[in-house]
Amino acid sequence: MTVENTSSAVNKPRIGVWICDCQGRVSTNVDTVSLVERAREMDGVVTVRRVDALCNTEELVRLRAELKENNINRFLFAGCSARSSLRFPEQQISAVLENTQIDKAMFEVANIREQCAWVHDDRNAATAKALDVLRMAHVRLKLDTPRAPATKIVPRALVIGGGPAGLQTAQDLAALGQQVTLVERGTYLGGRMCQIPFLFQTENWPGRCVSTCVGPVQAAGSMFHPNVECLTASEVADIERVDGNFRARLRLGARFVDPEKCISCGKCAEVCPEEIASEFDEGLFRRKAIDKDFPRAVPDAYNILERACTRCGKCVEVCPAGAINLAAQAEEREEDFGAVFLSTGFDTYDLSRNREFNYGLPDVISGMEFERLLDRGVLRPSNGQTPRHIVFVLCAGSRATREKRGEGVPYCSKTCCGITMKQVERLGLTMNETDITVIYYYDIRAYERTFEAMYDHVKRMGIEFLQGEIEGINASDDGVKICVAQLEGGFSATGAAYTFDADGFVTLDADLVVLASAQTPRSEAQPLVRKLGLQTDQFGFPMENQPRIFRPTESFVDRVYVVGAAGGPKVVQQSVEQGSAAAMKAAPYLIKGEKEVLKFVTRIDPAACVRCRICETVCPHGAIKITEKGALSDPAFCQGCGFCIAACPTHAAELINFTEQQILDQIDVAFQGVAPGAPKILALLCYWCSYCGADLAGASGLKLPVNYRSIRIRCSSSVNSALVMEMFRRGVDGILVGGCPPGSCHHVNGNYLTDKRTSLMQKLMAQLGLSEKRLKFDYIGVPQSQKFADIITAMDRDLRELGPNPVAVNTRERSETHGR
Amino acid sequence: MADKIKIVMNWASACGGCDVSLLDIEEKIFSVLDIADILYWPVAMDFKRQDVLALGPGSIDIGLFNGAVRSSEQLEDALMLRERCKVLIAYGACACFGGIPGLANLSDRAGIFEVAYAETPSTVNPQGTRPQTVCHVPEGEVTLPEFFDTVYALNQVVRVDYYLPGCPPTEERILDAVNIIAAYAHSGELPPPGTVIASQKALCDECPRINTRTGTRIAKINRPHEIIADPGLCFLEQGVLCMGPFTRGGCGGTCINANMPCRGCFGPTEKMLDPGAEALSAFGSIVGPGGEDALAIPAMKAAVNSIKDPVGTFYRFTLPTAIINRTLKDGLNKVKK
Repeated sequence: MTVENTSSAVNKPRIGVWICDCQGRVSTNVDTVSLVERAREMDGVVTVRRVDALCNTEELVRLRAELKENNINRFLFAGCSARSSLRFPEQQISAVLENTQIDKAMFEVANIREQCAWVHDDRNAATAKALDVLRMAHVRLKLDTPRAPATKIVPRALVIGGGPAGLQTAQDLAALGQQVTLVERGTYLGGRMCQIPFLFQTENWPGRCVSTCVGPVQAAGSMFHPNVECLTASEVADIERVDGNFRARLRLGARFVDPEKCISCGKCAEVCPEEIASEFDEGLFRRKAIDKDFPRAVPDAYNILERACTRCGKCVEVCPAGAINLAAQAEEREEDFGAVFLSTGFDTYDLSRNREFNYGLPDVISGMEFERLLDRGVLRPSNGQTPRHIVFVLCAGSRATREKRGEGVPYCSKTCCGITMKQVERLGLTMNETDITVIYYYDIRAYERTFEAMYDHVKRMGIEFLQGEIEGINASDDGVKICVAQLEGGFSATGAAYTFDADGFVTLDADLVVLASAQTPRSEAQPLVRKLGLQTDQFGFPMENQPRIFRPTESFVDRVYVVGAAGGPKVVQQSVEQGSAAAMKAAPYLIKGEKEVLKFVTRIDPAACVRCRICETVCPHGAIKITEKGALSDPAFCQGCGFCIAACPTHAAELINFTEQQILDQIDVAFQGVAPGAPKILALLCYWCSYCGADLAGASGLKLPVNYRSIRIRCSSSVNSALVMEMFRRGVDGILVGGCPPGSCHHVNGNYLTDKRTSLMQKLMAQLGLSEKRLKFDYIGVPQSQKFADIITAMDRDLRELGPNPVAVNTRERSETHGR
Repeated sequence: MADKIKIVMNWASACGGCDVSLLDIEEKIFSVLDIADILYWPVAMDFKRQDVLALGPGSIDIGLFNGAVRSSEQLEDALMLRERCKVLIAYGACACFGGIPGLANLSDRAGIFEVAYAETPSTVNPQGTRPQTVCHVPEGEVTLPEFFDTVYALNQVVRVDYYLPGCPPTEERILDAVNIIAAYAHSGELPPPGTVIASQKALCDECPRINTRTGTRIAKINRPHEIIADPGLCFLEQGVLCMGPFTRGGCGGTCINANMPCRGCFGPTEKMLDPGAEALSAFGSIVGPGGEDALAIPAMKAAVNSIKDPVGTFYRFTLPTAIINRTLKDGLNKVKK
């Protein structure tokens, strides 16, 4: 017989309790037989089983059968930790509950192994604690509610930016049968990749690709896939999160030239009288108002740049295909998507910010501009002559940390050393008459086996390397003079050519200077980044979700992926790898067409919300939306961190299955087994790091005071300070809040938020005469179980010295004295 | 009810602003007099305490009690009115939550006497005289009320039927209370006990500036005197700690309209666990820089700790009704052996 998962069936708890001896590893220190007896008395409990080892396959089969037979609708497991168990963690429990009548939110675990049997030696005391831990899990479970229905995900992906990363995502998703809309701002597909004539392969040098080959091939993979719609000269004008999906307003550029009709004969460009600097050629060369950016551009059609065209109509007259319509208008359309890929590429560092570079001089150019010269012929822009001495400057606007004099970004763009090696190697092979010098800052970062080999190769070619910093670049009679300053503690001379003078300077004569500029965040993408609710790092790049080692390309906003150089400096190959990775990350949602809602998500009560937007300020996952009726938390985006419940002034925000009631109910039953006079210590430990750190104390054989209890909270920043105050009122003597180590929070900075809130709370406590020792925050990582043990032991000692918490005493006296 | 109802107004530990606020409703006070006889109002009428004590239990319809309770006399007054009033209304922030006098709970009788009778520059008290509850003089025994260590809100000493918050209550809310009185006079009907005569939502709900709130962090706290606030812009956007999100609305935005941030005199809304720690939690979350850089932690902490006086900022009107209602002596009482 099975029970329908109706709301009435769920409302009436039928709790099944399974208590595991862990083959003696629990039952040696905890009297599980007595736990069984006490569990039977608990509200709503219909079945209690004690098992030797529930994680055995045979036992699991029996468990599923018994859950069904007994119509259990809430599952309570007492045994190993749901977080750190290697045999029966919450993932396994979820798998067991799959296809039973029990919703996956309707289970709780009483951790009587890692944080009880393994850390306490006194069997009676450990059993008393185990009973408290069971009671805590029971009161949590009683108020658990089933998950909301899965959110429908629109089975169409939006790829913003048609460079190598975006193209890869589009074609990989298409290959999985998914529908993709790819929006490219430029007039051709391939992005910056097409501007670079020679692409190196980072892991298989000297393999070398020519962009005129791979550019069109990569573009064709999306262009001609029936599942991909490629929109060039188009942009995403607006985007918002709606019901778990993304609503985008697409602005499709005017189609002055119909690509269906255009035969790319070029007659139009021949007659066009208007010229404009070519973006493709980085402004070094010009194109016509109607033109093709480069011969092998895809789509294979000419295009008109509206800002340059005078509508003279000459092109229309000569077009043999009747493909040109000068009256064409831009169009807009709105469409919903289930996943968004931000592959908007990078900007190059604005070299004009550094006066010492004198970037305005015609023969001082950027690395990207030099790529165009490599393609079109390496001649001096000032006079078209072959340069005799080319100087490359690395870290131009990069690594501008405290030591560096010039302006710039503080990071290393990681690509420039390799790219410069490639460029000088190309020159060395083709321009034997030209001298080449590379000025580098402290070191050459030619990482991995291929770049280092390339570096070695160019050194053997006789190319000069000079360590130093640019003091100034100035025009000379027939070229430029470059004054280089010696670095502090740096080399005083190169092997042959250059020696710094007594003041630490050396001057070079050159006729072309190439500045290897940093990759910076794409400024045009900033409005999208903001609208999507993405978190950005200190440099302005969108951040990846934590733990980012395992979540490449995933942003903090669900189903928004940051791909390629949009998320930080990358070379083409790495961008392509990311494109594939992101496609794989999104594919399950798009294929399934739905996203399961998590057990813990925020609900905001519109009756109490006053639209102060504090929840929106703190939400790291872009889940909050402000409407006329109040703030809304979208369950498809909410990751259940609980920042909002700690910050919501009116308690309008509530974390489902982690409600204040559930926490306070636990406080009320948590300390029944604590010996009189022993301090009641509560450890509120964050879901991933700190709780596991505490678990591993047991696994490492550490011993702890038996009078501490722990609650596996969401992020450390889910704890409202008023709730802490209420815990004191209810008699807790000391509270430890544990968060992830610095830089490891799964929600950007919940650990820091809690750290600072705790410091303010302690200031308040000092004012109110409540010892600050009663509230502690610390960063406790998984391997820091010793730290956890030390903190709890020290708190036990301090709290014994302090005596009972006076808040509880005071509150009690108040109600006794003035109950009139 | 054919007869006029009987009402009284009492003044306990308060500044007198509540009494003035009742007079501030101007000619509308006459509509009160049409339906009610005022039997006791020390600030305005010449009745004595003896007159009230002479009345029997339940003989007064409505009692308005303003001020906190911080002395034995005020406690007696509270008990006296509770016994005789069918309906007792806590009038003003002090009666509702302890109000500004409630901040005296950061000290105690001895501490306050020390300041008042010894430390202030204008005090000349070489004998170190302190007020005594009983003093024998040649003419006989003189008594004074006892000064409590702790200030109480009215509902901490007697049962309270309704709450009219504010420092002082605003005219509109006073008229709401008058209407309750009038309805009671006509029909005997009353709202449910415990009703707060104010909005059920926080102040932001009625604040015109809420639409200018953008959700940005407060990088640096500006105290009200440190900036000239933009009168059209949400105070939180200007780095000013406005208590609007934590405070019951219904005041009509009196302070906001005067371009000053809300200070919290209407008290907390219903769901709050503690009137001040909520604000600490919210401001503790949004004040200071964000981001992931661990090097920014000191700056984050410094930003929130620029709040010089957390109690005064967050519990300005509510300390006696907070979870911790007065200064404790934690650690000073050692465990008994």
